Amino acid sequence: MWRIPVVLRRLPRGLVVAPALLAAALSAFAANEWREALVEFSDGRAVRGQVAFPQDMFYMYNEAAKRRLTMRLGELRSIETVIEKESMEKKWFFKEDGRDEKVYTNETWPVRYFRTRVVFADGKALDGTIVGQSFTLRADETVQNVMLTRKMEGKVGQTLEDVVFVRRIALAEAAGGTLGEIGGVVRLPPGERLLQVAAIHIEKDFSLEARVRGDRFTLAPCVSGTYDLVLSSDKALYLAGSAETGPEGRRMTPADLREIEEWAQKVREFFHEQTPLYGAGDVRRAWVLVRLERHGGTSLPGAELVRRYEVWRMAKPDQEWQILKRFFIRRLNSKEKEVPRERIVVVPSLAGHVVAPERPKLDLQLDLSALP
Amino acid sequence: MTRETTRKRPVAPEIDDRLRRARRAWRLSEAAAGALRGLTALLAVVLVGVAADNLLALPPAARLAGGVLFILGVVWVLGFSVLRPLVRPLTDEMVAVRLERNCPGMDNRLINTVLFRKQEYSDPLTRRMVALQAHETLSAVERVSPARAGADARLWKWALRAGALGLALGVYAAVFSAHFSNALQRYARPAQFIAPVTRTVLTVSPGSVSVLQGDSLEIEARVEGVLPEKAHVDFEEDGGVRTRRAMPFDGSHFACAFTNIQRPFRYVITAGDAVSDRFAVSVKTRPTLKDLRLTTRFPDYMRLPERVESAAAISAPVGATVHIEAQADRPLGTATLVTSFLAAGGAGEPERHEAAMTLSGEMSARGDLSVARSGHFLVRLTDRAGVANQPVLGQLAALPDDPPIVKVLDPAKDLAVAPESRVTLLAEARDDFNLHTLTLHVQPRADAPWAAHRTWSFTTPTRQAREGCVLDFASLGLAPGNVLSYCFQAADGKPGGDPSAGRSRVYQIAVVDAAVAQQKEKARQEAFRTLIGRLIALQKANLDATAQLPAPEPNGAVKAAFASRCAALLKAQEEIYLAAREGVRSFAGLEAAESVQALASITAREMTLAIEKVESLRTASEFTPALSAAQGAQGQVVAALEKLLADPKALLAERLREDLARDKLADDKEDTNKAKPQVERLREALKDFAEEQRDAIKLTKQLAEKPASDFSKEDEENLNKVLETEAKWGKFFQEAATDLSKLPPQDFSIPNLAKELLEVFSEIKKAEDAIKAKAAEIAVPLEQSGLELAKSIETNIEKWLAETPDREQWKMEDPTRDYDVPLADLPDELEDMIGDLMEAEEELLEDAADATSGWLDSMDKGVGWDAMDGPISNMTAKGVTGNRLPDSHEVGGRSGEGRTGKSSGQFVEETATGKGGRTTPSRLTQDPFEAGVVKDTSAEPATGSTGGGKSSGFGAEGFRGQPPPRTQADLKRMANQQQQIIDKAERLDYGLKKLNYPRGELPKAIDMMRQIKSDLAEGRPISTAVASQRLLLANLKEVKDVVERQKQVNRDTAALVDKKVRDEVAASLREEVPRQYKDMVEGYFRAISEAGGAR
Repeated sequence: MWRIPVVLRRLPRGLVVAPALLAAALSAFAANEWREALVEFSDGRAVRGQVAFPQDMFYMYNEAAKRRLTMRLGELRSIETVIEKESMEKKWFFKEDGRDEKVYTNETWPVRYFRTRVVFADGKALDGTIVGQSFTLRADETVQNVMLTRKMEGKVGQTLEDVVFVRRIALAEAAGGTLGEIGGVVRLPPGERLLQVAAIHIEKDFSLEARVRGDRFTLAPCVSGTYDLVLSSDKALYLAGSAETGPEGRRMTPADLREIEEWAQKVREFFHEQTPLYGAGDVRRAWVLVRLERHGGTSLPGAELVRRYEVWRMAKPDQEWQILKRFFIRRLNSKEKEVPRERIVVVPSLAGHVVAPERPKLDLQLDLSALP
Repeated sequence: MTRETTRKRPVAPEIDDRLRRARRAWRLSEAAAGALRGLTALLAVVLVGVAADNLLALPPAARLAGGVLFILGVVWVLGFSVLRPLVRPLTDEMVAVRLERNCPGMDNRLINTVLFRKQEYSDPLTRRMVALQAHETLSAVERVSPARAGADARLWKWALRAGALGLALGVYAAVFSAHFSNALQRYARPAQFIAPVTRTVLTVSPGSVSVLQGDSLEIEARVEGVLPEKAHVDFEEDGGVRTRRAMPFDGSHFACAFTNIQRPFRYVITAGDAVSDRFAVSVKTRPTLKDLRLTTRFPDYMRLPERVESAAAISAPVGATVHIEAQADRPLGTATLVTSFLAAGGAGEPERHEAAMTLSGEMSARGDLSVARSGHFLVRLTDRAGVANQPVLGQLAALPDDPPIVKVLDPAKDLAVAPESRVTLLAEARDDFNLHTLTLHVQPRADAPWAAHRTWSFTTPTRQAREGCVLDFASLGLAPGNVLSYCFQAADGKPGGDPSAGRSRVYQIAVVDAAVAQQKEKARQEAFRTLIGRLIALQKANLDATAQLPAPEPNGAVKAAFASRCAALLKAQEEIYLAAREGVRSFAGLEAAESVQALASITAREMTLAIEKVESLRTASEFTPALSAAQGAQGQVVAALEKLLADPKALLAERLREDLARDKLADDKEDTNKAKPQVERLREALKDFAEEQRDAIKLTKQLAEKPASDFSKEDEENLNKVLETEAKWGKFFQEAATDLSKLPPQDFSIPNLAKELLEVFSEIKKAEDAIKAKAAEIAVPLEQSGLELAKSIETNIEKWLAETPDREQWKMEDPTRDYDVPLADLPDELEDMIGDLMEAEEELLEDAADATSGWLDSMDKGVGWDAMDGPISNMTAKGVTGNRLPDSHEVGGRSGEGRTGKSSGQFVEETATGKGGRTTPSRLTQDPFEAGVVKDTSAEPATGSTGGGKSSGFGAEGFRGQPPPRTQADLKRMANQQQQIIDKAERLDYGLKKLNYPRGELPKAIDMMRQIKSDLAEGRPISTAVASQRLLLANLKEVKDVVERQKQVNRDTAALVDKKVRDEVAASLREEVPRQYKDMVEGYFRAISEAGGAR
């Protein structure tokens, strides 16, 4: 039985912020875009002004996709907050260390849970839960910070009505936003079976996993943007990076991949080996397919080989590479020490599929049967 | 009686013959047997050895040993088994016994006969019996073949064995001929690499090779036969560790690249069952340029001495000759100076010239370069082995010799003077290389020629000179109506220059009647008064318009109109200011200087204040007080201007008195004596930092001029020094993006901050020898990980502190999908448990440091018992401070205060007191800014910021990260305020210049302010702002002191003297010098003017 250790507390030093004279800013804020919007609050106020989200985006968790999707403000028509649950909760604390008995005080405070609905430029909507995000509202020479969150709590003594939240943000300009779907049929070489299809959103840094039925796959919900597909069969991985197939594309050389491999050896990691197999892009942005393997020594008896494939989005802003995001592709856990490795096949037609309002639904016919 | 004799008596010749023949047969048989035995053994050895090598590819040592043993075996066989039987002594008895053994029917007759023969018998009967025995023996041996003595049944067995082995070997050789001959060759030449026969055949290129230091080497292994799945190369440097590297398959071969080779090494390639020979890569170093000494000989006309310097770039005037001496690190073969120039228009290939340099020593070369145009140059060296250096391109800047620039400093405008006036002229000349002369040219009248009135020559190298003289109009014999023109001209000696080059602007001094001059002055004064009157009128009008300004409305057209009116008021106010400022400039030199001074003072004070107050009307939060303030400021302008018109001297005197009083007050308040030591200390600290940075920059520049492959040991040590210096100053600004990429973005609620009333301090006795325990890895795959995702907190398991230091290294495989982690309600009071740290930061084992994981959970059940660090981020704030230092991995979640470590997420406690921890770098996370302030009473240095979170107090240093949006707005407002201060300072600077006051460090202070303003506007880090501000204040105070002193010198104290006395003094200036003193006074002034010119 696992005993979950009590995690040591750490002091998140983000709470210490220097005064205005000494504060430093990165270009991230310089990149913030102010957008005309009408912000409606729950107390009836409607403020017409401008809003700015850090990096002009926020995350929203979608239950259907089981993924945290990136929402870009420029593609949205509105962001609506829907109350999921609200109540007055009682303050409590544990009576004694080591006892489960709670002691309730007479103090109550309001608690609300929200769901978020975003409406894209073309009118399609997507539901989910927002990952806590603050934004700035500027109107009439005043500037204020407002929070969008999944859960909002008030102070003791307040009522639910006292806790004001944002009901709706209607954005004046929205372009290019839609909710689409990528689907298709895959024909593999004889003897191979399609296991999995993943899609990596190149601009918004998230990945989706498709529903696979036989040789058909469906990826949804797909927000606007460019997707690179990764197909997994029982014998091979098929993929390509639009950082290679695009107009200024470049495939990373064996020397680049070796450099990344040597750098990755310094990273403390569950896996024993991290081998880059294919890369597209350059030092400013690169997508690298990596095979990770661990040979035994885990807490799971009989797990002699754990193999995993990931795509890393990387960059090398200075002297060292950095992993900016990891996308899981597939894994296996075997009792055998040696399992034949999958072939890696680069198929340019798998890269650069664009979901856009004028073409939100893509139906692909992918014939990989003739590939070596 | 028998007598034994040692001498054998001859038996019947037949018997002897038989014995001899039997002896021979026996020898031969033995030799044959020995030979067959030996042959059998040797054949077996050969067969086994060949097979062993074919199967196992024996190493050279084994083959060598095998070969040696084989040879020894052959020698032994020949010697002992073959030769020895042939030569060893065989007596008759031995032969007889042998023969009888092989021929059983002889019944010992032969041996008896042999033995009897050896004795002499005296008894005749015995002799007859012996003879009879001999006859019988002869008969017996005649029936037997002597060859039977050599008969040996085992001989056939050995022969069969040898035959069988020989056959086997023959079959082996026939069937596996290639393998057989390969093995034989390998045994025959064990020291030489002969590849064994394998399924995979390797061809390696380039094999053993010599490369230049810093070069790269691509090793290829082409395979034939069975294509192996993988190949690897094992390589080792001298004295180094053997390293293995996989060789990826490039489509047609396996390849591996070694880059930036610095030391020799050996390598072996293994692919499938094939192993290559051991190849050696040797490294040749390149020659390097240790020093480049440039001696610049300037063109003769410049009259400048040679300039000798060690530099990597040439910057010299056109026409100069640069003598280059290059010093290498080894004996040279050749040296070449290569210059390249851009093609005209910048298009096309650059023009290149190569000139051989003369070898002036074993390791040095010299050459000359004429500077005609700009380009680049490099020195190419080859050593005696023909290895070339990696030359560094140096810049060649050919500087044109521009003509001097001359500026008249005083009076720097046209004048009108009385005929007896004496006018002081002051000019400044500058040249980019060397001034030769500065001449004052004067044209006394319009119809007169220009003549050089005065020339100053410079015999030592001079780039800037300021000279002047006094023009005595009386001695020039000029009358009213004449207009004298003058200008200054400087020469730098450049031949063929434009005659008008180096000339200042031409000014004129009109000689006018004293009365006319006075009238002009009066007219100017009148114009000045008119200006003041106009300014008063304008200000009053603006004041009225301000009074009529209605209060602003929040919305609609009224608001827009209000903004528009405010803008108009501001514009008008600014125009008043500009007009006043223009007046100060254009009326400078007015005899009533105090009026102009007073106007300058009003401009700098009241008018500037009025602009500020009017500007603030638009954005003021409370309109009425702002309106009053604006009106008040404008009213003060009117009052000051009116006072200026009435009595400028009194106004100026009043101002001076106010300044004096204000300074005294400021001095009392500032107590600069106390600040001085602080400033001194800060200055010292800045000096240290600046010096260290200067050293680092200097070292870096030197190293940058050399390719890395040419670095000597000293260079590498210097490089390490630079790196250490930079690492020291940049220690806390590393961003571990790898770890951060694993942490999922987490949600935030807006909770009430919890109190922490229960803080248990627990003393734990460390388990003995625990510190010596080795680290244990706990690697958890996906199957054993899981999330609870508790929506509420219901359990509260007891917790206790660890007795041992952290020796578990947790490594968790990351999740494969995203999770929606609930935000459970937190208790109102958090419980913490803290103990003395089990170990210090330097005692932490790197092997026990956990790896960052991507797991984020809301944990409830089972969270308890041991308090230890781990890789799972938790949203239920159940952690405790504990007694172990956090590891170096990233953790998120929600938590009360704990020890410092790499953490991000949400802080849910209302206070922070500082509980120690690890030194943590700053890095940027995705935490958003939250409302709420934490009471931070921690005295620890603030490190490890992440850019988000709540606010708490002040830190000592700026943090990387996105500041709160409010802070951004504040920064921009501060930038605007800074700009206003800059404007004031610039006006002050201009005024000081106009009034010929010393400006001290004011220009530098203005530059500093501009930099600060630029940083504020763009939000760049201004971590030295505090130091800059102190320096700024010190500079400005210094300016104030100097100006004040100057003012005291310049001040016309006559204004404070009674008017009657002033008139008397003024009148005396207009009286003639008494006749008896005239010569003395004239000589006195002449001496002054001549002394001033003869410098």
